[in-house]
Amino acid sequence: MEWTDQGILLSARNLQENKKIFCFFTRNHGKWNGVSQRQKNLPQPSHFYLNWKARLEENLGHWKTIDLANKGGEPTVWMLHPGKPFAVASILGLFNHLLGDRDPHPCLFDGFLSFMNTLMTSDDSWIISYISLELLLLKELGFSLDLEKCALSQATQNLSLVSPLTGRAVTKEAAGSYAPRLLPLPGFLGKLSALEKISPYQAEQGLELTGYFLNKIYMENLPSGVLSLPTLRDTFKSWVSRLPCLQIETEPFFIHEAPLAS
Amino acid sequence: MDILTRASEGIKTCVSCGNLDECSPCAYCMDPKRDKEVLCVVEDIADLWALEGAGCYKGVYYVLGGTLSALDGRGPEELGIDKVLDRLLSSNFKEVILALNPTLEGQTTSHYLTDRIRSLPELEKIKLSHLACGIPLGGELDYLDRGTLMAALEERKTF
Repeated sequence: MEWTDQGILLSARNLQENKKIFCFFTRNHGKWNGVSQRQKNLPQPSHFYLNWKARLEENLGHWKTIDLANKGGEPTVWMLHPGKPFAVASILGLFNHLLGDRDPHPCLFDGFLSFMNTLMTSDDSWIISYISLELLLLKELGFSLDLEKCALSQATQNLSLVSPLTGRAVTKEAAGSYAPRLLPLPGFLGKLSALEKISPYQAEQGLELTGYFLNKIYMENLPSGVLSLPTLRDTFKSWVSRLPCLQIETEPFFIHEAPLAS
Repeated sequence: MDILTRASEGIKTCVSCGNLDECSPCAYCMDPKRDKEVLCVVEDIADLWALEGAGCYKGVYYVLGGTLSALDGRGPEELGIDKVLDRLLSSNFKEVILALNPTLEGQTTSHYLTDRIRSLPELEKIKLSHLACGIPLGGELDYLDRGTLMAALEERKTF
């Protein structure tokens, strides 16, 4: 059994004295483990070309080749930014904990690469792309939020709330007396506000919304003892809330709305 | 086997900085010639040895013993970030140098520590710095990756 694919390193752990087990999030094979003779750590979150080989598919197998996709090195200068490393660490942590082994999600893989490209922009549109990537993650985990039309009235305008049970948007009028029990839908996700006028509070609301549903999946799937989202996600949210304003100069890339990968 | 047993019995973790030594507090913390107003935060003891080997730093250290990692589930509590803050609050440091690796985890930890230190009014006067990222001495531009070149350009100095 042998295949080649591309992937992003999720985790590495030592095996015996001179080997490592690398776990990659691969495009066409999902989260996949394999042994490598490499003793040095690989750069994270770099994009690699991989070749995996084992006698049988169910074996752990080994990584025959692990090559950087970008021979010139990744433009990792965003690591010096005070907020971007939290976002990347947070999304990698979510992938690592929430995605099942050997369950392919090519859209999510492509979405992650698109998100990494948005990190090179000098404005804050990457924050919106991050929220959009979390929406895509929810979709891939089978909990797609329907933010396009009202679950009750079918209206497509003035959507400002989301049901915590179904993840479907509703208008304030349709929600009536149930409104206080529903989650706020930030204007930019409900297409209420102009994209250049997104406030840090709205971005925080977006993170609250995706966080609520991600947490729900976390609570259902993780072993006891691990009952919360990665701490660094909270740190990222708190960093966003402390921003004086969001500078949006380029159109944010809504990853969850991009055409599906084949 | 004897040597290993003696080593495991004799080596202690410094209560003050997390370094390994035969005594606690360690020799670096007890050295009166060291500048007690500058603290260098490093990821592990190997980094402390590297800095000591270079012989260019004369302040004291704090060894974190790892970095924050969302992937390994290592949060601020597991890493003992509060101990660093306690040490800063109980001493008179004027500068903290964050000498963590320029990796995703190292930089995440650096920014997290910066956030926490800046959130404490008692520590607002402390100068916070990190090691420069850029071209290694003796290196050649055409062998460098794009990230390092971009960082080197951003952190360029006036001649």
